[in-house]
Amino acid sequence: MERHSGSGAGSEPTTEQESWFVRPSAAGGMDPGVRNGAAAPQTKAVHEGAARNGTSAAEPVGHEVEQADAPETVPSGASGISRAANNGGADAQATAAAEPQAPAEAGETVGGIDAPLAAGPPPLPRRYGTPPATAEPAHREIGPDPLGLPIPGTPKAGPASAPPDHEESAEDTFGSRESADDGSLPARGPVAGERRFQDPFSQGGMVAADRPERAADPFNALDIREWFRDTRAPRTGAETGPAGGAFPIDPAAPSVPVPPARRRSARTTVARGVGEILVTLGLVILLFCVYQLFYTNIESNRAQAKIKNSLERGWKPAEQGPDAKPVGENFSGIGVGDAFALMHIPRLGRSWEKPIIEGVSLDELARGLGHYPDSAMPGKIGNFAVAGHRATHGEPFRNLNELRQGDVVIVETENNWYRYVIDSNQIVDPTDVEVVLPVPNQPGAKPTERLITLTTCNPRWASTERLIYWGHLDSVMSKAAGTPAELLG
Amino acid sequence: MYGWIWRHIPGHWLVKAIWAVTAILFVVWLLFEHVFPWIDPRLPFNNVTVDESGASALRAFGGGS
Repeated sequence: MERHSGSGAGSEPTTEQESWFVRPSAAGGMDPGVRNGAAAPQTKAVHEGAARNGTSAAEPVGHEVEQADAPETVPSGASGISRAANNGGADAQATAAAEPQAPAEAGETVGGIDAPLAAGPPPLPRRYGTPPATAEPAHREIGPDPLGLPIPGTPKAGPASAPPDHEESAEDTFGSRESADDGSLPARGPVAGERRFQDPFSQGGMVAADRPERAADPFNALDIREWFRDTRAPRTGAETGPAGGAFPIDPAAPSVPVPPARRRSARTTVARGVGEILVTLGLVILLFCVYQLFYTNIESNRAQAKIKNSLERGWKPAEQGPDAKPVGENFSGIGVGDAFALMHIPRLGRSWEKPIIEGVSLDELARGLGHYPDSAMPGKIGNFAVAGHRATHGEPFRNLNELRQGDVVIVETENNWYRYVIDSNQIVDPTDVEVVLPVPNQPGAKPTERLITLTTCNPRWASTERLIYWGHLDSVMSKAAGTPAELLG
Repeated sequence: MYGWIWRHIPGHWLVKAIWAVTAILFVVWLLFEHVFPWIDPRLPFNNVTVDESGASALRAFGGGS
């Protein structure tokens, strides 16, 4: 019953069947399967998996199918070795019985693989219940595989010679949707190819399959493959191909009915759908956090770097000596969205340098600091008012609250350094627009001073208030005359 | 939902997986490039100016230089 499948293209499955044998034990119906790994030092690995199943019945559901052929068995060999080690202390009698088998198998397998045992339900714990007891192991659910590579020389299957796929154990336990009971679908030629294709995935799983102690391992390869199992609509009888005449299939028959165990109630379906939607929403919200916390900053920093580059490239300071006088600038022709200056605040970092862009809409603020369009330009009489994000989008004013009285804010334009000194700060309501007036908080007053105002939100992640800093122009220095001492640090 | 989608992607599971990953990447791209930027301005911590439209408010107060 136990068939060995998956040997090389040229080898016959039947020869390998001999490598399996079941030895009824005198002691209490335990049927230890024995197998020898020729390459393994322990050639006497004893398998006692069947004993745990406790069922008698020569019921080869195919789960014990093992394969090991010389070119392919490196992984198998490894598992065989480990298994042998695990079972090292097993029944000596069984081992002795296994001895005669050793040479036969040694010829064709490198590492040992397990023993098929007499039976019982497949050791794989399955979510979908016990497999139907069928005498005929050969039927599979997975259809011809589009990627399947038929191996030349693989035996075209007749019902008798078809090697049962080890997949069957899984399929059976799943309760095959298409043919739970008929057991009539023989392995076909393409099947052999497909199984070949899946070999690398199946080996570990098969080892687990007849090792009950490992079968519960959710990460064994067989399980993983089941997750990705082909779930296309069940094939109809006509598609299953010739059955060698032994198992006539009505070509007109629609797909085989789904066994009841496979059906889900509507409530289950709805509950699952709702659950999936909720999980998806959670993931989307998580993604949004990633977007806000990281992605907007990345985008903004990229944009700022580009703006800084083009700004500095466009600047052509007048060539003058070290004692050059500041050049008067009129900032004409600056429209909303244009960058016209760089701000340096040494308190926020040696390299803290942000472009100032005309306009305070989110568009401008996403690319740097925004200049209130109706406020004064740097160095002019009035109030040079600038807003900046405190969270997300580059968050230039993230640590603005660290500014202290006397700290320096330097505005760099094409020709000059404008050096402002911070005087005071205040937390105000979002509607207190008077703070950016030419004379702050004095609507209508005629400005006489050159001031600077910085605004950002407060607290950092809310918009309930605004954090305001004021300062006055301390000095103006020509860029040709050098760099302010604060920036040389 | 996901099971339904998975069942409706044709092909071998490997092909399905490729399709699925592609679809996930597309959805993430859609979120990052269109959905999130649309939500973004509606969040509070974007308001860093005094008054939503600081410029016009300034004008209303006779501000500017």
